This record gives sequence, structure tokens and C-alpha cells, in this order.
Amino acid sequence: MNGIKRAMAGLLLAGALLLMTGCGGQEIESSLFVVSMAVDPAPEGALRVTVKALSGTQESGAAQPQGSEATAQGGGEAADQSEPGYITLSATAPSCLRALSLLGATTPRTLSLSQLQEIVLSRTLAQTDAALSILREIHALYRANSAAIVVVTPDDAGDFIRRQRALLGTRLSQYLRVLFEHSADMDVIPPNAQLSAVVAAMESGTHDAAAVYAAGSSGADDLLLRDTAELDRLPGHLPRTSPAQNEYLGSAVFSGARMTGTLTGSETALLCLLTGRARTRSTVIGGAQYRVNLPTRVKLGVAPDGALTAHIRMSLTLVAGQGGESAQEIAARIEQDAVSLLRKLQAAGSDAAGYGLLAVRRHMTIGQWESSGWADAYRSAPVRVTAEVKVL
Amino acid sequence: MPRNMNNQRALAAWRARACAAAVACGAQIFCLGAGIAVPLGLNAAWLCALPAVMLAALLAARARGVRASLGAGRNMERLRALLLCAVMLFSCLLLLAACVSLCTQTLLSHARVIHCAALTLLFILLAAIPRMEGVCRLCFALRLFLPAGLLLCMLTLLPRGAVSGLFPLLGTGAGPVSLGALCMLPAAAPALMLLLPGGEKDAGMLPRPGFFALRAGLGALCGAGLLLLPALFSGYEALRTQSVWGARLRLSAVGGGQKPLWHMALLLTQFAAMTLGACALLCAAEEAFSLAFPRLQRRRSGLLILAALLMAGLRLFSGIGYEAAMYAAPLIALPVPLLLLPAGKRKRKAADR
Repeated sequence: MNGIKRAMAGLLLAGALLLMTGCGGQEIESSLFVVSMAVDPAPEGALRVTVKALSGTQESGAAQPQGSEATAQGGGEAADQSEPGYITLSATAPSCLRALSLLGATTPRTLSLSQLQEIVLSRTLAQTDAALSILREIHALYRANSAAIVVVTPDDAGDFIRRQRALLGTRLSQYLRVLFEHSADMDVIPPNAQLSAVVAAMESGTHDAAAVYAAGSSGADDLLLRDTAELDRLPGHLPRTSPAQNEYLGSAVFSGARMTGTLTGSETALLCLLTGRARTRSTVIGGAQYRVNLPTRVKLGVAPDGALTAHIRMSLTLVAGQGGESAQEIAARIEQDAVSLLRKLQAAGSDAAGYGLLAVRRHMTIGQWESSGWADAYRSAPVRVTAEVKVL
Repeated sequence: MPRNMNNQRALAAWRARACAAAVACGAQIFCLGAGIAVPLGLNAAWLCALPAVMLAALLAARARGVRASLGAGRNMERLRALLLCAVMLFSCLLLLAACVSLCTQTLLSHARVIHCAALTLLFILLAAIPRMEGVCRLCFALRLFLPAGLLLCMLTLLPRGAVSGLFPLLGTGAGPVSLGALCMLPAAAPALMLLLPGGEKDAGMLPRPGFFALRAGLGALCGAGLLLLPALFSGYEALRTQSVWGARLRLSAVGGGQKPLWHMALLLTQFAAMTLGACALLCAAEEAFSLAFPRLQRRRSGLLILAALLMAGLRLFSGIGYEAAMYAAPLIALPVPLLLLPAGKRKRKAADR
């Protein structure tokens, strides 16, 4: 009996081992690891997809002129290898899916989006319904890294990623990861700009998406806007010069599947504060630097009369400089800024702050919620913000 | 051996058996819920599972009351044993189909479906070699680890404000949720494994019905609790667009990419629960088979025959789609009255004597 049991167990183990060999079946060198991807509109309703991928060599190829643009029926591929270790490819097709298939078919590698760090959409495309289907295809069908950051740019998205360089360190993927992490710590980019979060918000009826807004630098370091705070601007118009030609600052806010507005860096920081996702520990107010004592308490609500309410309670500690404003003055300024921000979001029809997540709780079924007309109610709702600031 | 020690050993054996039933019930409720309740109720799928939880507890309590001689010579009893074997086997097939669907979505996304099926079946067969006692002890050992592990992964991975995903509370409405609840009732079938008379170590004091009902009910409740996760992770809009069973089983798809180790831990804990449940059901099917055909008991022929049937079933479903297993689940409910009612009458006759 023991012998039969052992024989059975041995056979079963052997079978299991045989079935487990080569379960992955793919060599690393057989994959084309894409680090950045860009999608632009092309003539006749087509899409041009540009990807920047690891080439696997450290040789710097000469820059080649871009290949011929494909016809609207598909085809064509341009290769540009001007940065050591990376190769840029593009393809044009009627849809993103077909363009990616074309890229996969015409390169001797399997396209892998598992290391994707950013997806750049041109602003023109983001303002159409095509943005959601593009992102959905990338997320669901190509199993892209769902933590990849969605970026919207007013420039040509393909050129945007072509001029992206790993300035610090040698790995573009790590450079981008650290850049987004740093920007998120500064609250100058929206907190939920990952691919999966953006797709979920675009599909959701209870809140809206916010992607990162970025542009190429104009290089005008003598541009001064005296009445505006440095971060209260959109990218591409910052008075700076740097080898990093791309500037990431602010948010592209969506209403459903379409982009409907932009927020500056300062407005994005306030949005992070209102949604309870602020990470920055210091702020400069009236020439003095304050440390923000966490946790800052923010309570959003929808009043019985339909008003959008927000109550902010924060405490600040003076760290440097001379505080010229009193706590009440700081609170009044925060209230004013928050009201302006919420009204701007209302005008854009974008519920990036998530008031819909609170309004949905009043309805018992999905049918009741969807017929409640929340989108119209949100646009016309009054806004009330109160702030309590304590300066220690 | 002193009678007290016999009773303690019997209690420990029955406790382990109840834990195995609990794990199987929880896994079945989750798998069937992801397949049927989520498309019907969307974010209210967990509500659809609550009647199945109560039924699992009720069946466990009722099954305990049956110390009938399943398969003892008479044709009727052998038929009942065979029906119980069929119910256990089909429940096992359902769990295996769910494992394969989840496997092809996650761990082995590039492998052939039939290879995933064969691999899963092999692992379950290996675990079934020590018979029911072995898998029961394993379930008993993991009875706290599995729910604790799932809870820990859940708390770590859930995004901020995830509670909003539960609203609206009634999901698609009372009608579809009620229909989902009705379709979910067969998920309580694994509790019927407690109908089996048990081994030699189980001879002795038989615990009260509440003993089994509590354990089976808690296991089933864990399975229903897992159905909260699709709503917490995704919200009803994303659930509407998920048409693949394996994608719905894959709880943490949205928001993945961050904390990959925790996502993997959650996935492996899910797999562990599902394969343990399938193994317990296979062992229960083998025991019932042995009661129906005692002559095949000695050389474990029953296990081989049942494994062959499972492989044939998996092969069939790989051709027509694993969702077919899910839609065929209500068939499990058909033999249940035959399994329970005559035993009730026999109990009354024994009590009258």
C-alpha cells in the first residue's frame, strides 16, 4: 500500500514539474520594453503612436529623418535613435490598437508595456472622446503598467517624448519615476494621475479624472509675471532654462471622457489639499515660510440645499521670515482661493474634487443615482468654504 | 483508550472537518459570486451572497443531525452516497474552473489553458493523497491565517475613499439583487460534506449542530466579505464593463502597479483558499464514492476515477468556456432534497425507538 502511494505521489509530482517548465516562455531580449508612449492625432482621423523603448545597446545612433507618415489606412514606421540606449518608433493607424499591433509586427520584438512610465496625449486628442478608448485599450489589452502617469500636452506628444532625456542618472525610467514622485511631493501634479485611476475616473459617474499637464519650455528665463506666484502658471511659460526641456506643472481636468480645462501648479496644490492628499510640508505665504503640521483636516460635503461645502482646518508653524499676515488673513485667503478653484472646476464641468462620491450615498440604487441629474446640479451648486488656520 | 480521550480526539477531528467545509463554502461563494452576483448586482454582489451564507450554516447544522449509514448496503443509501459524490465533484469542478480562469488572467497569462487546468488538478491530487484527514488538518491549521491574510492585504491595498465604491448600497436594485441571491444559493453546497459519517477517529462524541453551523457560517461569511472587494477596488462603473470571469476574480486589478508584493500576496492567498477548498471537496467526493462502491476503496481507485472525471470536465469547459461551469451551478441544488429529507425521517424513527 505504501509503495502504491509513493508511486502515485511520485508520478503526480513528476507531472506537475513537467507542466511547470517554461511557464513564462519569454526571454528578456525578445521584448521591446516601452518606457514612454505618445499619441497624436493624424490626418483623416487616424492616430500616430510614438514609443520610446530600450534598445539594449549603449551606442548612439545618428538621428534619422522621420519616416514617411502612413496613409490613413495604416502602415509606416519611423525610427529615431539619437539617445544612447533608447530608440523611438512611431506608427500611424486608424486606432491606437492597430498602431500598437503594427509596431509589434514590424519590430523583431514583442511589445511590452510592463515598464511604461508615462503616456502622453496631445491636448487636441484629450479634448475628444477618443482619449478614454485609447487609455482603455492600452490598459486592458496591452496590460500596460497601471501605475504609468497620464500626461496631457499642448505640444506634439511625439516630439514631447523625443526630447525627454534622463538628465540625472542613466535610466530614463528611473528618472521619470523620481520626477513624478518629486512633483507629487510638491503637490504640483494631481495625486491620482496613474493610468488605472484615470481610466476608472473617466468611466465613473461619481468623480472625474485629472491628468498631469506638461509642455516644452519656451526657454524665456527673463519672463516675469509680477502679480502671479511662480507656481500659479501653466507649464511652458516658466522663467527658467534647463537641459530638461519638458516642464510638468499643473493638471488637465476631465469631465467624463473629455478634457475640459487646466489648473495651474498652485491650483493643483489646493486641489490636493481639498482632497486630503496634500504631501507638501512647507508653504510660503506673504514672504514667510511656514511648516504645515499634519494632519490637515479637510471635510467635504454636499449640504441639504445642494451647496458644495468644504471645511479646512490646518495649523502652521512659522519657520523662516517674518509672518506679515495673521491667521485670520491666511484663512480668508485660503477660503477665497478654494472658492475660485471650485468655481473653475464647476465651469469646466469637472468634479475632480469628488463631490459626487458624497452625493451618491443619498441614493439607494444605481438607477436612482443616474437619473438624479447630478452633473447639472453640480455645475450650478453654490459653493461654501470655511477655513480655520492656527499659526503656532 | 479512555472514553474522554476518545471524545477529545473525535471533537478535534470534527472541528478539522468543519474547518474544511468552511474553507470550501467560502471559496465557492466567492467564485460563484464573482461569476454570477457581480454582473447582476454590481457593487451589491455581497448582498446577493448573504442568503447563501445562512443556507451554508443551516445545511451544516442539518447535516450534523444525520448519522445515517450512507451507502450501508441498501440501494437507496448507495444512491444517496453517489448523489453526494456528484454534488461534491461538481462543486470541485466549479472551483477548479475558477482557479484556471484566475490563473490564466494572472500568474500564467501566456500558458495554454489546458496546461493551467492540468497543473491545478495535479496539485489538488497531490494534496488529496493523505485523504480527507490531511486536508482537514491543513484547513484547521490555516483557519485563522487565511482570513487574517486576506484582511491584511485588503487593508494595505485599498485606496483612499474606497468605501464610496459600496454606494449606491442596493446596486442595480432589489429585483436583480434578489435574482442574484437565488442564483447564489447553490454555493452553500460544500456544507453537505458534513453529511459524511467520518473516519475511525471521528467515532465518539458528535458535537452539536451549532458547532458545525458556526464554522461553516463563518467560512461562508468570509467568502461573502471577499465580494465586497470588487466594489471597493473598482466601483460599479468598472464592474459593468468586466465581462470575463477571471477578470472579476482578480480583485486588485484596478490600482495595481503600486505595492506589487501585496497584490501578489493577495492573489496567492486567494489561490490557496480556492485550491484548499477544491481539495477538500475532492476528498469528500472520494469518501462518498467509497461508500457507494466499498470494493474500490482499498486501492484509491475512486480518487483516480474522480480525477479522470474532473480532467474530462475541465477539458470540456476549455472548449466551451469556463463560464459554462458557472451557469451550470444551479444543477447542484437538484439532489439536495433527496440527500437531506430521508435522513430526517430516519432520525425520527430512530428517536421513536
